[in-house]
Amino acid sequence: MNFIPPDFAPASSEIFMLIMVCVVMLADLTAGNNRRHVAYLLTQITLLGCALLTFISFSTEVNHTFHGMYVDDSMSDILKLMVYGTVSAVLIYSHTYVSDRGMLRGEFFSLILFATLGMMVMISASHFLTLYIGLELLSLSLYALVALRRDSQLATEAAMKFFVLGALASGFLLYGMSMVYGATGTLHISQLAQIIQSEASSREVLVVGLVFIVAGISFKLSAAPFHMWAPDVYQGSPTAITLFIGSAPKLAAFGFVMRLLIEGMGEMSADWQGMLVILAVLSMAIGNIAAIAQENIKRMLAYSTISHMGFLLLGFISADSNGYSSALFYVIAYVLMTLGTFAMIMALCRNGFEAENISDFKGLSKRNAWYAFITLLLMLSLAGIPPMIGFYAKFAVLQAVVNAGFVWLAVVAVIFSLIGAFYYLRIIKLMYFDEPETDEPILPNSDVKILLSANGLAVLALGIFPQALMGLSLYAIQNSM
Amino acid sequence: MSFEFPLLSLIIWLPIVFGIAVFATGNDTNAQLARWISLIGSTLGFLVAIPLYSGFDITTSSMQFVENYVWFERFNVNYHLGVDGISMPLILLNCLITPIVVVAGWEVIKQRVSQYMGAFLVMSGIVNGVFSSLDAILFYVFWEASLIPMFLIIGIWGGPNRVYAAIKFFLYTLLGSLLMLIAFIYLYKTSEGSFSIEDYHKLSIPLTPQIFLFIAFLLAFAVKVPMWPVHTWLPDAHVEAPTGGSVVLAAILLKLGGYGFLRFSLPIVPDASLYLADMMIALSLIAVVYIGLIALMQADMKKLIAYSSVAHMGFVTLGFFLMNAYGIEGAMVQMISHGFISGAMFLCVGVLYDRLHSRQIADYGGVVNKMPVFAAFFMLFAMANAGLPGTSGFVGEFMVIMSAVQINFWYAFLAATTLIFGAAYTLWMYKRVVFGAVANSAVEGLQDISKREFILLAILAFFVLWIGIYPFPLVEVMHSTIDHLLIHLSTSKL
Amino acid sequence: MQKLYLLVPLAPLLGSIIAGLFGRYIGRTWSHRVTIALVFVSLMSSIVIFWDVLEGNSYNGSVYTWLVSGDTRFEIGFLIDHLSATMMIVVSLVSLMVHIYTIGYMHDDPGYQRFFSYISLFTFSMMMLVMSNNFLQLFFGWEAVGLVSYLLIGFWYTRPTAIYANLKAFLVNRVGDFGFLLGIALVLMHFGTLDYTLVFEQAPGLIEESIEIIPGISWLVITLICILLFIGAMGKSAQFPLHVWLPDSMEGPTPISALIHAATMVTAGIFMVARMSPLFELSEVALSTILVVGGITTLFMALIAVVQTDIKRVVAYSTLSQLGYMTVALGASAYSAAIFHLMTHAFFKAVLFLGAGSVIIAMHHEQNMQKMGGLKKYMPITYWTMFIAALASAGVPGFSGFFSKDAIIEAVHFADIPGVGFAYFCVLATVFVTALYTFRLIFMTFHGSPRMDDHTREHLHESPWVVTLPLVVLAIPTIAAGWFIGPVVFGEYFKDAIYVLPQHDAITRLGAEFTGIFGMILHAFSTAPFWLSIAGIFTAWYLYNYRTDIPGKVKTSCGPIYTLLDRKYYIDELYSWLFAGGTRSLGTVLWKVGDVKIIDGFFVNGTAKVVSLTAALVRRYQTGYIYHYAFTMIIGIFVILTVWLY
Repeated sequence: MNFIPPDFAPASSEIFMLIMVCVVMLADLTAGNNRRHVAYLLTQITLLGCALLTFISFSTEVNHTFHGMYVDDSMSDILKLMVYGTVSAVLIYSHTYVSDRGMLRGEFFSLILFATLGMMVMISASHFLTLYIGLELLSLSLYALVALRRDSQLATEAAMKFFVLGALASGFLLYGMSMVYGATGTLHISQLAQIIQSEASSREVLVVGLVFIVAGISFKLSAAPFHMWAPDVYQGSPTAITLFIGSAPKLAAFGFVMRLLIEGMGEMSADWQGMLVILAVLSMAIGNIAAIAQENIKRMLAYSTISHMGFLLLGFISADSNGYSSALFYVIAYVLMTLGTFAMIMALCRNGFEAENISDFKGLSKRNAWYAFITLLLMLSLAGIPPMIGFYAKFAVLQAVVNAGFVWLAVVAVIFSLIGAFYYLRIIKLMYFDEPETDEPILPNSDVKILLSANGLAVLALGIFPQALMGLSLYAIQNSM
Repeated sequence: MSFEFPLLSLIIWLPIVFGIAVFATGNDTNAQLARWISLIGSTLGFLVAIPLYSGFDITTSSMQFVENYVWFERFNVNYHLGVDGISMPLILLNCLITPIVVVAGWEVIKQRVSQYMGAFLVMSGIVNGVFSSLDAILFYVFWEASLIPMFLIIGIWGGPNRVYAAIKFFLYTLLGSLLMLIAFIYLYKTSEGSFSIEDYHKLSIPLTPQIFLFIAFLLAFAVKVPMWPVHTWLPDAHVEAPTGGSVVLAAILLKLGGYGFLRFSLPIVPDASLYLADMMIALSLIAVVYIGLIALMQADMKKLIAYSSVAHMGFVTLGFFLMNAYGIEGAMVQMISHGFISGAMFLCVGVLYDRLHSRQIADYGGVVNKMPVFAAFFMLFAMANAGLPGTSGFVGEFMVIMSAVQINFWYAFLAATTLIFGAAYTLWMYKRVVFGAVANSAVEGLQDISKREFILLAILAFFVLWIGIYPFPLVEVMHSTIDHLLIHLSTSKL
Repeated sequence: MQKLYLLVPLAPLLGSIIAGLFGRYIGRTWSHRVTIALVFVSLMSSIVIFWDVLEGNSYNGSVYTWLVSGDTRFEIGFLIDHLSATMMIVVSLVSLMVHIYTIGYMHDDPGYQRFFSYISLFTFSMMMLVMSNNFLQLFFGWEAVGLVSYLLIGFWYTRPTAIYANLKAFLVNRVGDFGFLLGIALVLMHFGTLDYTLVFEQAPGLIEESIEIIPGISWLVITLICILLFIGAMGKSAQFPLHVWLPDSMEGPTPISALIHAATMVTAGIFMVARMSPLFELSEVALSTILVVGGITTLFMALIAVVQTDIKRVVAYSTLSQLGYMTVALGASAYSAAIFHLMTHAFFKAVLFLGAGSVIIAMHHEQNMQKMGGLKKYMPITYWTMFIAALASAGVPGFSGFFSKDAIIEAVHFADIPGVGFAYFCVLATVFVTALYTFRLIFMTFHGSPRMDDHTREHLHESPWVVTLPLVVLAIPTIAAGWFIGPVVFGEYFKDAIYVLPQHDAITRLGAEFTGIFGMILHAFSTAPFWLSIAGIFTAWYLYNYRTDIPGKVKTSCGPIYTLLDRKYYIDELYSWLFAGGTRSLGTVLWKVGDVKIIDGFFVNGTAKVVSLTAALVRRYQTGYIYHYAFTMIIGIFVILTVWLY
């Protein structure tokens, strides 16, 4: 038996990332306690390098490697580029916060990079095992990140919950995969479709597998009723980590759904469509309604995430490239908005003071009109008010839903997003209509300032010119399927 | 007039650019600069709108000053602008009201001046966008965007209960418009990939979907107009809004709903409109009578005028759904006229509020003794509000009543009760506020209106009288368009 | 000539604008000079036009197009014929006199310029009304005079009674206008135009058409139109039951009572019906309605006048009663008699009002007749002019009122449509009552012993010439205007404006017996009205000059009747309870229950409450216990599995 070395080129960025993680760890060990920025810089360089590699090897066709266990296509490249950008922004935003709280240690960067690697693997997986490895790499890194502040009781508790429930969800997923394997006899995602189509497998077994897979996916997306971890983890984690959990992994989760449900189980769309409808409606209902009652901003945003994920799921329901590209657009828009929002919360934190409550936004417009304006844009975008990008995201998804013939679902979605608009408005109300409780100025670093402004304005600018991003999403989907 | 020149874009974006410039002046140390930039911006905004009137071709019903560029091709959405006889007068009205609002807030607004003025300029541009959009998504974007500045204006500069009012305003209107969005998406699907409003006009749709579309549109527009029973946000919003906010709300934003009926409901789903016309007429008549009675009992001047707005807008929807020339043209005149009259009424209340900081009727009395010039203006506008012939308020009501009697005598009968109720609530308020002996020491100390206030009221008075005495030019411009609409309405799309 | 037509309304309008906007700058003297000069221009133009019309010219044309909607053109235009030319003369002459009179009456009033502005504006509005050639402009003038009336009744805006009265006047008029506008709407609907001539041409073609506004009950369209239009006339001309505003309107300055609430504006309704004679003639039901309403107004308002003590109120109720006469004449198809009475009444009632005003000036704005008496020797000019007017009013042969009123009574006598018997009784009985209250006024005011306080008596003197000149000038037509009855009523004078069906034509039947004014006077001595009138004057003399103790006794012995009259049949109370109170309670209920409780409370805030309650519930479900979370996940899987497998 000849050993044919696999083609490493499609996975070049992952390999580069793996090497650099080791470099960062080593550098951190040698650099000493007072030179943390070396690790920081190295991390950013790593992300930049990965981006360059991905960009150079941007594939316009589908390339399989590692015996079909790994795939490189336009969608994966685009998603990965988004992930790099997001992680890089997370690092910039959280730098001050993390160092203020003594979390700026080597393991912070290495864990983030490991998580990033996990996401990259998830995005490019075309085999159940690869997929699972990527997922676990991401999850384990996240559990550790949540627990990074060992002295915080809340964080430890959150990490515990996250870990236990995450393990349960992984179990579901594995169980589902094994059922599918049992029914079809393959772990290759690209082969699944044909086998299912040939009706050589038992439908009952497949459905059982599908249900468990959907449950695993829902956990990752924090869609109801598998959402319970999200509020506790969002609230318990240090804000910088919440920012990370809330942003980049959603991109990976999107890739995950695409690989598993659409590429693998696309033939069973009639079954998962119905499940997704239930999950979507439940998520939108619970997310939007529960968010109203929250006083903690991170918790509120957790529920907001749940509702947004419900909306995202709507995009898949139409089971066509129109819907998938709308969902991709939605998730990108969502990540952009989340980044800005959590960054704003961190900007409100001062040394020793955690901005945790919604009331911390009181009178922001008087303390700093520009930041208030940026927050205004973000909140309106989250609420889906034009001309912010959040509107186009909702619009694209609704369009897909109506196109698939689910007009009633669109109406339900719209009514829940109306309820949702209320709690975003509440933030605007606090910022603009109320008097500030403190007149302490808000002075973030200049890089944060620039990035945050760019982030906020991007929400507006991409709303006024949505074509580029919409076109990109469509391209990513059409070129990969 | 060169058709190459993107006049409509200029009309939309010039105020917005100036608005951003005003925001850029920053905090209140530059307040005077902010005021002047706003005044220049809004005046320029009006001046550039004049060619719209002078270059308008009244003989055609097709869109004019058209601009059409691809906006995002993913969903075939275009930056498609154009005006016809329905939208052109409304744009002019909006461009005229903006400088008035800027000047009205000149000395009164002392805090966050740049934000206040900027918000109005931006809103002016956005509203122009609503009126000139020929693409459904472009329309929707402008439509929703107009909520934001108004929400902030009510919430920041409003009265004590402003938060409740602002949020009620926002959510109420959002509810309506989100369903409209779904209607657009549905039409996009039905028309096989077009968001062009003009394409929708040609679309044939079965009756059941027509009815659903109609209801979706109805919710969006009825909330904006506002029609009974979704009107309750308006009194709250008006009471809490600052004077300028009230003026724009009444004079401009309510017109968005009326415009929507003409641009969407009637031409896109004519059969459903016909099918549900009786219901619409009933709702409109309830607005006229029911709201008229409620207005009578208000103790707060702004609330009274707000309710009177609802009643007057009831005439607009009534006129539309009578579906004949008098009715629709009358309703259009009523919209324009209401823009001037309600704007002027709110300015008048603002004048009093700026002096005594009360809107309660009971806190006034005998104002005429101290403010004779003001009292004269107020009388004119009060009479216009009561629909006195010779003022613009009469023209629309007259035409709608003429129209209603052709459909059913009792429609006209109920509509005409406004002659009594309108006079009763307006003049009763006028009597209690303006007439009588000086009621208290606060009134004793009143100063008559300043030059600035005089100019504002005089401009509005001019238009109120002009439209009242010679409405011909106003109706002339909308004639072809409405004729075309009526022909369109009379052919079934099933 | 057409430019001259424009001058008639526009000159007073210009005067009004000058006095109104620039009165402060040009001062009092120039304000009245300018306005009087411009009204004089209007009068002169009217006279020239009148002459022109007498020569047989007439005009019907448009000034400008107000509006084009659908296929209809709404025009502003003039119709100049005998009817409008006559009205123009009456309006401009009375108006000019009132302008002059005002200089004296309002001499010390701070609102001097404003007053002149208003009355000039009124002249403009009234001219627009009478000169109109279409319903739209008619309605414009109709409401515009209402506006000025509103402004002038409330001229002394610090008086609570005045601002109550003006609001009431406006609203009651609006009730009339409500019907009027609906009438106009029906006209437009059925004729497709609002132009008088075109409408009248088509009117006979409509006679068969009927409409069911209440299912099951069929009405002739023409009847409906006429009754609706007449409701407008009832408001403006203060016919029962819309008469309530006119007595209260006496809160305005006296010149206004003379100009607007006696001579001109209130007769607009009469003018309108006469103008619409080609329509009204086609509906006997409408004519009957008019007869009955007119009859009621005539008699019952006259009865109230008998018990009033306020000098202006007596004249006001007299006006109501006289308007009733005119209305009865309209109902009897004696349009020309109605217009003729309108004209004579304009003069004698103006004199009565201006005379009353003169008395009020002398009495330092005391209006209660019980505090007057014996004024004759202090104010001879006022006395004699008023005495003449009283004779005219009471219908003493030879004076203008006699001719017009006698013509009406006879016309009713000759008419034969349903309701005419009742109307005849009313007009006949009222002759007595009219003479009684008119001379009661004269005797109580000018005769007998002075009852005012000493201070007032010492300062009593005749009014200045600006006040007495109009009295004297107006006294001339008060005597002489009636002498033209031959050509105006019985002749062909109004034939270009008024149309009467042959079977309704009482006037022509009456005209056959007409033998000239002396013949009419001689004939009068053998008729009931004359003797009733004499009886009335005698009774007044007996009760109020000779045995002044009797009225008090009558008052106590006929308590309920007196109170009923004194309280004006409790109609005001009824209205304020039923309409004012009713609408206010209804408004409050709709507001507090409909808007606040049901729409806002239940639906809007209720929804918000349900959402927030649900939110609290969902929140409680998020317990924080890990096993709850795991359990939820498993349940979720279980449910989905169950649904999809079975």
